[in-house]
Amino acid sequence: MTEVDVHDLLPLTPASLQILLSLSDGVKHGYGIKREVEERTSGRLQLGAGTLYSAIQRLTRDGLVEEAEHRSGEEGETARWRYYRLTPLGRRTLLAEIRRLEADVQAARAKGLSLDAGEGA
Amino acid sequence: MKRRDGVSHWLRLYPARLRAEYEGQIAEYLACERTEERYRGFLGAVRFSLHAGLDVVKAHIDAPEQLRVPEPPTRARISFRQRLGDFGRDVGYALRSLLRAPAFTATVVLTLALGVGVNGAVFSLVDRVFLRAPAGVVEPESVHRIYGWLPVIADSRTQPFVHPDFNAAQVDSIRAAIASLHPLAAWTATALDTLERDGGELEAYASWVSQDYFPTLGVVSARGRFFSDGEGKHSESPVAVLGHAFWERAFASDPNVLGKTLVADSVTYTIVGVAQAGFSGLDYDGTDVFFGLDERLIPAEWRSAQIRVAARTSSPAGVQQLERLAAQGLRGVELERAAGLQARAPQAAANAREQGAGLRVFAGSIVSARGVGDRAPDAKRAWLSAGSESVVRRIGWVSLALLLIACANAACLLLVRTSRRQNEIAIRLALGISRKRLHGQFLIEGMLLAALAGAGALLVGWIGGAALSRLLMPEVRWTGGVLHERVIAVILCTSVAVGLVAGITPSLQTQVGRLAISLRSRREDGARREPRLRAGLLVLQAALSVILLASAGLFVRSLVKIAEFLEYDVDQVAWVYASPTTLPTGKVDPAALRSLGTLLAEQPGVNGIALASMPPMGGGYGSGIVNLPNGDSLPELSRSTRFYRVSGDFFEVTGRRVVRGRSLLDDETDAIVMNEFASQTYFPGGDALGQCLPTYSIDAQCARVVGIVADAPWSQITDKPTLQFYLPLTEKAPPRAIVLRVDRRVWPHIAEMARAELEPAYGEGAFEIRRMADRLDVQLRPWRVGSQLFSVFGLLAVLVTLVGVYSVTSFVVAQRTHEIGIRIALGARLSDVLREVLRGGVFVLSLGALIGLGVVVMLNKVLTPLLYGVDARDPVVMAAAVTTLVIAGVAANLVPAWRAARVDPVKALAVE
Repeated sequence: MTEVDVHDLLPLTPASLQILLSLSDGVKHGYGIKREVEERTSGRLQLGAGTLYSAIQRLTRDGLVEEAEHRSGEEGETARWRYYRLTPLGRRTLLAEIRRLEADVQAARAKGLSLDAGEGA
Repeated sequence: MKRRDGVSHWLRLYPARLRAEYEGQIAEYLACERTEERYRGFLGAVRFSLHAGLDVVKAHIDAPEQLRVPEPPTRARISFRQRLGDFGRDVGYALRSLLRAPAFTATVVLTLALGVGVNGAVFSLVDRVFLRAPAGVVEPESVHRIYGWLPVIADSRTQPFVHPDFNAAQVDSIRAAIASLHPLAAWTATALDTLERDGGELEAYASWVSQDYFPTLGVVSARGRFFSDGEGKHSESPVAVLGHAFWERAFASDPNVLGKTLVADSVTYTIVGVAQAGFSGLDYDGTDVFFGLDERLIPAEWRSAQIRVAARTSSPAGVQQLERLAAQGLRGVELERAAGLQARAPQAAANAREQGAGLRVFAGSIVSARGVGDRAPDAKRAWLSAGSESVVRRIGWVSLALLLIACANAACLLLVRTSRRQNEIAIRLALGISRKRLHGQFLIEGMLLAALAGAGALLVGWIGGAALSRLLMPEVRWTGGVLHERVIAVILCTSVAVGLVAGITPSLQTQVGRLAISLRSRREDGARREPRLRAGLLVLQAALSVILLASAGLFVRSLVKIAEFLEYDVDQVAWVYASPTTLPTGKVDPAALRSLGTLLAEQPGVNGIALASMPPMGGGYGSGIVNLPNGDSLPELSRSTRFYRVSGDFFEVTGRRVVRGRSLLDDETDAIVMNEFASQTYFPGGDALGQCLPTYSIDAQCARVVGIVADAPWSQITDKPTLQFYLPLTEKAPPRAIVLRVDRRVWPHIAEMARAELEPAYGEGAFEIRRMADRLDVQLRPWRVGSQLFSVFGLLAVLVTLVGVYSVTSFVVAQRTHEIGIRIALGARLSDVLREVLRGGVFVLSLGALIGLGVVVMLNKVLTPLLYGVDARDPVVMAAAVTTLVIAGVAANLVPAWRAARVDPVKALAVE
C-alpha cells in the first residue's frame, strides 16, 4: 500500500487539489465539499456534480480518498449522503503537491517576480 | 423524494460510469444546488439548466483512461459494457478534439451544411416535381397519362412535338377507342377562378374533370357523391365537388355543405360532394374545386381547350394496347379534319393527313414532369428540353457538383488536420491504441461533424427549398410542406455519407502503416503520400468550380443570346388583340380597330402603332404556300411556313430589323417581306430582293420581295428559324390586332382606355390586352432563374474552394516555416519567397481549372441542348471562368505567402 510513490500522482488537477484540500480538515459529503471550495475560492472554482464525482471516483480509485462512516449530529445532514475523508496516501499526496507548488512560488520569488504587483505587471 | 423531481431528467444525462456508483449522491447534490439563491425564479432556472448542461458535457468529456470499470459479472456483459465505455470515451475524445479547433470545426461544418443543405433544397424541388406521385391516387403507377407525339418527318424542318393536352374532339375519340377496355380520366389544367357563394366571393383553383375521373383514379368521396351522367358544365344542373382541404379552409368543414351553390363564370353549380382528404388533383397545383366536364357536348370554348387524359392499366401488354387504340382514335380525328379541309384548302388537308399518319401515342407517367418517360427517347427529349422542369433538372446536377466540392473541401481540411495531429496520433499508436480503435475515432469525428452539418443542412434545405420553388415555379401553388419526410431522409443520409467520407479520409492517411513509426521521421515521410492526396482534392475542387463557373457563364450568355434572337423590343411592345378563340362572334370590325388605333396613337407615351393579323410571336398562320419563281414548290417546307398580315410600320413599331430592302407600304397589295432564313432557303447564294414568287395567298400573280427582315422566333423563344412571310393587310385579310410601341409607365392607362372602348361592344375578356414582356415572362424565366442560380452556385463553389485553398496553403506554409527561415537567413528576398509559395498554389489551381475545362468540352454534347444559341465550348466563357478562379486563388494564396515571407529567421529556425 505504501509502496506507491506519491510523485507519480502529481501534479493534481485543480479539482482534485481542491477536493483534497477541502477534506484535509475533516470528513465531508459531496455537496459539502462543493460549498467549502466555492466559499474558500470566493466562487472562482465551481464544482459541478459531474466534475466533482468524476474527481471523487478517480481519487477513490487511486486510493487518495475513501468513504467514511456516517457522522451524525450536524443539522440538515441526513443518512442519504455518503461522506469522504483523506487516506494517509491522500494526505501525503496533498502535502507533496503543496510542497511542489511552494517550491514553484519560491522559485518565482527568487527570480524577482513580485507577487503583490497587479496582474498586468 | 419530491425534491428530486426537478432534477431527475438531468440525472439521466450523466455518464453511466458515474451513475453506476453515485446516482443517489448526484441526485442529492443537484437537489441541494437547485435550492440555492441564484437558481431561483425563471432566470435562475435557465441559469441552472445552462450550468447543469455544461456539467453533463464536461462529465462525458472527462473520461480519464485509468478509469476502467472492473467487476465482471458475465463475459458477455463486460465486453458489451466495455465496448460501450470505449465508445463513450471515443465520442468524448472526438468532441474534445473538435472543440479544441473551433475554426476548423466551424469551417468544415459550414461547408458541409451548405453543400448538403443546397442538395436537400434542390431535392425537395426535384422530389415534388419528378418523384412524388399525386397523393390519394390508388396504385398511381398503373395510371398512365396519354401523350400525343408527332416525330420529325424526314427532311422537313418541323420540330418534334409532344401533345400533353387534347381538345374535346380528340378526347372523345380516344375515349371511344379505348373506353370499354381501360377506365379513363380527363381533366383540364387548374385555373384560378373567382367564385361567388352566399356570403361573398372567394378565389379558388378549379379544374373541370370528366365523370369517370374520380372512379378511374380510385379516389373516394369523404362526403356526398361524385358526378353522374350528364352533369357537365352545360347540363341542366351543373354540379361541383370540393377538395377536402378547400372544404376545411373555405367552408370551415361545414357538415351541411352539400346542396349549397357556387357561382363561377355566371354558371351556378350545386355542391354534391367532398373528395377524400389528401387528394388535390393530379397537377402540382392543388385543385380546390372540381366541376363536371362533359366533353361529349363539345362547347365552343373547349374547341382548343387543354384537356389532359389518363387511363388505368396495369400490365405492359395493356399499356401497349392503350397506346395503339388511342393512336387510332387520334388519327381518326385528323382524317376527319382533312376531309373537312379538302375542298377549301387541299394543301392544308394534305398536311392534316400527313400529320395523322405520323401521329403516335405514348402512355407516360402520371407525374406530369416525367412526361412520356423512357418509352420514347425522342419524345422524352423534346418534352424535357423546355419549361421550368428542365431548370430543376439542371439545378440538380449543379447542386451535386457543389456537394462534391464541399466534400472535397472537408476531406482536404481533415487531411490537413490529421497531418497536424500526426505527432499525437503516433504517440497514441506507440502507447498501444489499436489501429481499429484509431480509425473508429476518426469515423466518430467524421460522424460528429456530419451530425452538426446535418442540422445546419436541414435549416438550409428548409429555407432554400421554399425559396427555390418560389423562384423557379412561382405560378405553382404547392401543396404540402417543403421538408417532406423523404427530403429529410435524403438530407440525413447525405450527411451520414459525407460523415463516412470525412471519417475515412484521414484513415487512408494512416493506412500505410507509417504512423506507427518513430516520431522523428514524420516530416520527411509525410512529404510523400498525403500532399498528393491533398493536392488531388484541391485539383478536384478547382475543376468542379470551373465547371460551375463555366456553366453559369454559359447560361448568362444564353440569356443574352435569347434577347438578341428575340429581335423584338420586348419591353416596349404591347398589343390589343381580338383572338378568334376569345371573341364570341369571331369577327371584329376593322374600321373600329383602325379608329381605336388612331386614338391610342395620339396618347402621350405611345411611340407608334401598327395593325396586324396577330400579335408578335403569336404564331402566324400556317396555311398557304409560296412557290419558287419558276412555279416549283418546296412542299417539305410547307409545314414550317408562317404568314403574317401587317401594316407598313409593323417592323418599326416592334423593333424588327429590316436587313435589306424596305418595309411594306400600306397601299401595295403584291409586295412581300421575308425573313433571312426564308431568303436563304429559297435563294441559296442568290438575291431574293426583287424576285416575284407565285403564291395563292395574294390576289396578284406573284408577290414581289421588297424587304428581308432578321430572323425571329414565331411562337416560343426556343423555336428554330422558320420561313416567315409578311404580306400587306387587305379587305379579305383584315387586321385583328393593334400593336403598340409604348412606354411601360403609361401602359396601364392605355390598356384601360382600350378596354373602355372595346368592352361595351364586344364584352369583357374578348380582347387580349397585354405587354409582350408579360407574355414572354413564363418562357424567359427558366433562363433568367437558371443564370441567377448558376451564378450563385458558381460563386459559392469558388468561395468554398478558396476556403480549401487558403487553409491548405497556410498549413503547408506553416509546415515549411523552418525551411523558409533558412532561405531567408541565407539571403532569399521577399519576392523569392512569395513566388515560391504562390507557385505551388497556382499550379494546383491551374491544373484543376484545365481539367474542369476538359470536362466542359467533353460535356459539350450534353450541355449544348440545355443552352440557347451558345456553344458549350464558348472561349470567352471558359477564359472568364478560369480567370475568375485563378485570380481568386492567387488572392487566397497571398495571405499565407505574405505571412511566410515575413517569417523572422531566428524564430523560424527555432520551430521544430
